[in-house]
Amino acid sequence: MASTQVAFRGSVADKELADQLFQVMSGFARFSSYDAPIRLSTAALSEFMGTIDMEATPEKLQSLAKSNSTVFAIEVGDEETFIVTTRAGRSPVATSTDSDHTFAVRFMTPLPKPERTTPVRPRVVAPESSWIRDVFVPTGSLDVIAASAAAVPAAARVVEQAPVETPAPELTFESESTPVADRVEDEVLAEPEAAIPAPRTITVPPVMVQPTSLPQAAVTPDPVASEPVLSVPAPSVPVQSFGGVDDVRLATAIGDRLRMDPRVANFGDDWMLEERVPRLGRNDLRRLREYLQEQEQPLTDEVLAQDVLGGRPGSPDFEQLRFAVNFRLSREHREFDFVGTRNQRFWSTGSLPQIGTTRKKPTEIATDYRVIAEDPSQQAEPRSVASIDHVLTFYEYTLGLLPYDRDLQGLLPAPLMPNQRSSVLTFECPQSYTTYLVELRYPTPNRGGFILGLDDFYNENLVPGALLSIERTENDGHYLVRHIQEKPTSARMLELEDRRQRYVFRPTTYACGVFDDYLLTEDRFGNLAQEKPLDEKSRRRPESVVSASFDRIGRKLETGTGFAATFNELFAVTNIERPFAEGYLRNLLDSDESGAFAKDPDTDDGYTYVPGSTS
Amino acid sequence: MSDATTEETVQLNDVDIAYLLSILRDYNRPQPISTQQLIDELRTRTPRG
Repeated sequence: MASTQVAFRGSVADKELADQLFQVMSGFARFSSYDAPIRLSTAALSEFMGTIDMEATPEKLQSLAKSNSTVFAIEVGDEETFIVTTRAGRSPVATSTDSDHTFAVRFMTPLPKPERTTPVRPRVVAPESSWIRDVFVPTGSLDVIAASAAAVPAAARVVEQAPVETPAPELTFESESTPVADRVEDEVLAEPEAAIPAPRTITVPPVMVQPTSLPQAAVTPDPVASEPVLSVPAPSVPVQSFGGVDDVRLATAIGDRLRMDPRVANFGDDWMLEERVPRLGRNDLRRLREYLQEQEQPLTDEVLAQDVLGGRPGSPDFEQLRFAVNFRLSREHREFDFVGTRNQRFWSTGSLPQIGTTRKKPTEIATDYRVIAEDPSQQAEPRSVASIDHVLTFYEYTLGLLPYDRDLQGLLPAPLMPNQRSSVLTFECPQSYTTYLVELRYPTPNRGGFILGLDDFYNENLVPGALLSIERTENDGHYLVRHIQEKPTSARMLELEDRRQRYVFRPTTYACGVFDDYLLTEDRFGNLAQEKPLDEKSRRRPESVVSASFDRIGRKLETGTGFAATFNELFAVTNIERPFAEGYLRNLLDSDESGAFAKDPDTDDGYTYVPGSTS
Repeated sequence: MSDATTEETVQLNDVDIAYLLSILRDYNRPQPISTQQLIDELRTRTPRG
């Protein structure tokens, strides 16, 4: 360790003693820092010096310290006198900690935010064409602009600029009027307000823009003109009045334009800005799907918003949540299917059990109803009638369905969404206080439509040949279905025994109004007992079904070569195998080219069938 | 101001769409807004110009 060389004052003996004293004190605090004070009492130092054969009284040491005040300092205590020095060989200097700028203090007391002047941007008065598209300028705003522009100094004036179609030269700023020398002179002589920039022309660099219907405007100072000239670009598209337009066409026009706008969200008749529609995360979608699968039936948007997403009916944002369910799920084509109507918005997901019968596949039923899809006379305007009456056939009774024929098309709603294949409706029977969930399957170009899911309603209340009426409500997804209540009647009615696949007559009691000609009782059609359903090949040919029906009715002609039956009997029996509309059956019988079917002159509305003409 | 007559095909122009968007942006209106409400707004709008 390098020792510190210190020069002492006094005689040679004093210098040597002072040096020894310094060495002793430095050795005592050899691990201290160079400028740390080393404080020892004169008595202790005197005693130690005596042990190393350096005799020095405390007074002598004190006088040495006093004569070398640059090296030693003397501190007088209550009982003792101390000599103080440092390893650096300097008398210690009292130091104080500067805490004015510590990190902790600066953290706790940050400097105030410097005040900055915000740059003032010149306000462009004329609206841009894009702004005009988005924001409606309320009535009278142009007047306000005109009034405010009149008060604007002539230096800031709005002038029209023709739409730029061809590339212009580069950006140039050039002075129009005075040379530089004159301008300097003018600046010296001018009044303070004359310091306004000299008139100049700003040439806008070439921007290849499409000419829009609205002229673009630029702000250009124009101190020369004495009268303020204002030219506000008025929109070239006028405000239309829709007083003479009906609501339907106006709704179509609104839909055509707003649906093309990505900023607008639409579902059914409802509109919102897309950015304001609550968003559903993947977790929300998973919970919605699992809840549908758990309930095993389609559910309405209201139920989903309430049970899954925790919305509260009646709260201000509940309708927005419902809209979010509909709008967001409509974007998830792979997982969710919309099966609702305008007023009753059902949602379904894959792997839900089918509504209605499992005796026949829906595609097979749709094929059976192909005659409806192909018949133009069976088309009707949706929701154009208030109620319909219908006579139940055996085919409909067995499968728990109704045909989507002209009557039901006029009663039920059209699909709300494009590519919507089915709608789930609720049929309420006020007589039994029961509501049934049914599925309306819309027709396709080569398959007919029908309603599934009425099995229980039929089994509990009706028999084939019963009359029922369906009435619409204000809710286009909810309908009232009624039957005529009668006194209980017992009869042996036709049934299809599933296990043996044979027609049988079983005693049945019914309490509904029936159309007697369509009633399939053993008394009238006893030949049907133990009959098997027709094979698929014969069933597909309407003529075969009709000829088989003649045979099953079994009323032979007097000549013994054929059969006779009334139209109502034929209608009831043919509809056991496959659906026949009245018009279709009548047309088939009247326009049979083979000549097998003919009008029966002996019977009112009767027909005959002579076998051999058709197979 | 022009009249959209019953015979013509109705088409909304940019000003009409801007007006409908301003209605959809209105935070004071209950959302969503139905088509019928938009129709009523278009009909009751005070024409300008």
